[in-house]
Amino acid sequence: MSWLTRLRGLVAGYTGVDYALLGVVAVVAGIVFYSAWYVYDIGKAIGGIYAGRILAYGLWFIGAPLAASLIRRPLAAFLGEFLGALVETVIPTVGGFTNMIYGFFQGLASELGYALLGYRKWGILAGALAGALAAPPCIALDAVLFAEIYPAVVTALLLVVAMVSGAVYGALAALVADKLRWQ
Amino acid sequence: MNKPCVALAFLYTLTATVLAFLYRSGTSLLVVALVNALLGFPLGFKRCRFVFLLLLLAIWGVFLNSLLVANTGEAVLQTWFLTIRSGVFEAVARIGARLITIAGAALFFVSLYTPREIVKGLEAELMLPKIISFPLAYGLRLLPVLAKDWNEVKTSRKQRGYRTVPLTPSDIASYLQPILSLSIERALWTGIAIELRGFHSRRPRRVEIRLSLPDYLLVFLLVFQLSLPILYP
Repeated sequence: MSWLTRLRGLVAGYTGVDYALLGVVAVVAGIVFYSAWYVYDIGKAIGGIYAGRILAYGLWFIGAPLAASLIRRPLAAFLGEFLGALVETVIPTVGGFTNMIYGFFQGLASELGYALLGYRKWGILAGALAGALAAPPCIALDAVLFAEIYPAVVTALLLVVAMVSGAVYGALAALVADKLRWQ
Repeated sequence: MNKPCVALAFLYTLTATVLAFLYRSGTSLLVVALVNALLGFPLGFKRCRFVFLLLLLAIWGVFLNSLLVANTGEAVLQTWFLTIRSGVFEAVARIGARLITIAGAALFFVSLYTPREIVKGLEAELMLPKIISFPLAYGLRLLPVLAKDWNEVKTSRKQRGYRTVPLTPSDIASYLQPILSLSIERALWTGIAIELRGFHSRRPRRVEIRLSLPDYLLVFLLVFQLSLPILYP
């Protein structure tokens, strides 16, 4: 079976309710992503690169754990992050279409987290893992797109900071989704 | 107003964004920044003033970053506690031009069309699958509804004598809990309604792209920006 047929099979399992829930996640994540720009810029302007990243980067990763914990289906994490980035692009922010590129790769990385867990666990720990896994592509894209290239030690520290931020916000997003799911 | 088709404007914006990263420095990057600033900033000034504020904040952040990692070369400015070297100005100019290109191109695209036109255009012209187009359309439609819910919670809080600006985590929770619960309830019934109307077997409508004068102008601009490395080697 080709990967395209497999992908179509996964998407075919989505119901109308899943589509609509993805819409809710997209708009919530889009608003959070949009607000994260202010948090990041103010954090960076006052506290430098580490403060900006620890405060804001995790906020840019919450689309995936929020969607995955709410919908609990393969591909939900990727779609939640990517659709949130699309809404952020349409709002728009200073990042413009780069948001879409970031959303695509971060979504894939977070999806990998749920795939590693065999699409069986959707709780807080899985949310933290998905949030943390979105950090490496984000830091790599910062270097490739915005030429944010630092010495190896600083880059490693930035990666750790982004992963911690992603894990904290990811766990929080999963917790919120879990509470909403059972209301 | 005669506008270029959504698919072409989308491709233009995407290409301009990629060019901002491909043209690492020099005249090409400055020309691309200028073209997109002239194209997007006048269009977006009325609707998206906050983008300009974000742009200023981002450039200030780039300046601070450059002080940390690119303060090399000849001394240009000297104060009693800090020496700013040419490397800082070069980095700010390069990354600033890149940010202006990205923001200008995005402002051009989002100011020209309504969100509904964007989603419809992308689905019909660029063949976006419905798993992307439906949630996007639904999410964008939900934005004003969420704003209405927010105002209702605000009024309720005001009537009870609580502050309306959410400052503490408990304030934020009192706003978010009803808004998210309502949105999920709405999504559930929307999902059921669209299923009952046969959404699962619906196929997206495709239209053929017919180019008009604004489309040709946009293609010309795109070709001009793509040929900049030949014009300014």
